[in-house]
Amino acid sequence: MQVYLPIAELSVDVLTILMLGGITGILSGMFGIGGGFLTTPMLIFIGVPPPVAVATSSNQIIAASISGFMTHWRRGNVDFKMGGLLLAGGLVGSGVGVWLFTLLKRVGQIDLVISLCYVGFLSLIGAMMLAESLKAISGASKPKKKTFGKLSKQKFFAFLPFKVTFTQSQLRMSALVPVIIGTLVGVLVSLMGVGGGFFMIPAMIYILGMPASMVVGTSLFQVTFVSANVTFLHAINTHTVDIMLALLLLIGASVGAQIGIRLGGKIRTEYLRVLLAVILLGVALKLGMNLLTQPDELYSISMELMP
Amino acid sequence: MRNFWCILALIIMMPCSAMAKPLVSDISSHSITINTAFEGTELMIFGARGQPGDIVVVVRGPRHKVTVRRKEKIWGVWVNREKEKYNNVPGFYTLASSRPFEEIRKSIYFRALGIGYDDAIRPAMPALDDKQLDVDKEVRKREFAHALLRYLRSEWLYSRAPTDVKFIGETLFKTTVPFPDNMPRGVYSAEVYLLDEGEVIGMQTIPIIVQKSGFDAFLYESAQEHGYLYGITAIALALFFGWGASAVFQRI
Repeated sequence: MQVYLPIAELSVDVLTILMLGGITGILSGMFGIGGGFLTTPMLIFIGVPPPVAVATSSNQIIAASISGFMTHWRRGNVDFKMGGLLLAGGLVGSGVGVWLFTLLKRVGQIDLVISLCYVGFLSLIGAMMLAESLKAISGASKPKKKTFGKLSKQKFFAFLPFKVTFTQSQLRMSALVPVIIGTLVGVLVSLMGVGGGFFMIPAMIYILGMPASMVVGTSLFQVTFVSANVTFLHAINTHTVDIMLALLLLIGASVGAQIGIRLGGKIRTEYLRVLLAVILLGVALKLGMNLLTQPDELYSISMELMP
Repeated sequence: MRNFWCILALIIMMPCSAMAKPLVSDISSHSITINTAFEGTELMIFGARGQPGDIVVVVRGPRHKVTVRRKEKIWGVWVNREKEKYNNVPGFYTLASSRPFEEIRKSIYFRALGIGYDDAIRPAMPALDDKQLDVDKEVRKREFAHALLRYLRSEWLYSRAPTDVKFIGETLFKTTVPFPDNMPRGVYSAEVYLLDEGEVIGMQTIPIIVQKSGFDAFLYESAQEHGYLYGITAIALALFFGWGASAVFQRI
């Protein structure tokens, strides 16, 4: 069945979009990653304009992260003080990001920047994930305790003012650190239409030194509100949020996520993790090839109705 | 269709004084509504000429501001580099004539009026100014305009009408103009010209309103005009469904 997406200005097959949402949902349920990293490029591949893919993906991520956030909140796994500071940074960062997005769209470079960001980060994350999971499969190394970071960064950031105590995470550090991290991630999030868990979780563990139990819940708290902000800013600045597309995606994703959670508990995920890494690298390669090969049509046209 | 015959009857019964007008014409509908199921449509333009001559019908879409960009290879990556801007480009253009257009003697005003398949975007081109005649710039402007025309033709937005203007007897004429499903919304104009040896001796312009309707159009309009409300709705829907889905699945 075909459905017309009013903002993407494109007719798509409903099943294709539901399946796309479903697959990203399964992956997020299994591996605890948000689907944004796959949703956005896949949407671009089926012909959705990159700006619409990014903004709509942000909209869908709100739905994907709210339920996880609620669950973790109930269990007391959210450090609101830390999350709030990360969120404050995230709001500023996403504001800057959407402003940059609008600017790039006006000068006709947004498609390029989105693709470049994806090629860069997908290859990086894919390669890291592949290396890690191959190591886990071969059993060559036991997970070693990464204590070096925790100590060094506490000293490294010691000179910064505005010291705050985070009772839930049992940390004391300058409020500027989470605000700056939130800001940087916020910029990337609004350019790429991802939740930001990929950047946020490692930053929380290795830079902030937060306890593992608090990381996911706090990240989801931050992601929910930053994505809402990104969606809102895109809606008023770039007009690229497609509600119809977002709804189809999130229906698929919420069903997929539940399947993923159940599957994840039953089967060994190491091999699947290799598969996911390969998929990420494949998507990066495809996007990269699109940039490197000569396009069929060198000219691109944008038309705007004159008042 | 009934409309057509009514008007035809009116034209025929018109007193001679009205017939002194060199050209009378009308269109089968003054508006087109685009909804989800819209797959393009056809309108009939018809009329009567008061004296012999060729009939040329031009249907022109609403004016657009267009940016054409060209990709270039920079460090191995294809990047949008140079651009040209054009104003007043009609978003739709079609031409029908009573004889093959090439055979009709052209008025000197044709190019300025943008009459002629190849001159469709002529009014959007800057006038040649001798003082600032920069050959490179001019050549580039043309090259980019060619790419624009190629695009508009490939999208079926610019076309020659497949049927010519047909005469019924000596005075009555009619033609059918097809519109594709991707036609832009806005105010169109159907221009009917009566020509005698390259001179425009009669002309009539009929407006056509093209608007979107239905839920899709509502969403599109909301996104464009009421960004705040649209954004809040999008967020609320996502929260509601995200929350709802997890609540539902917790029970299963």
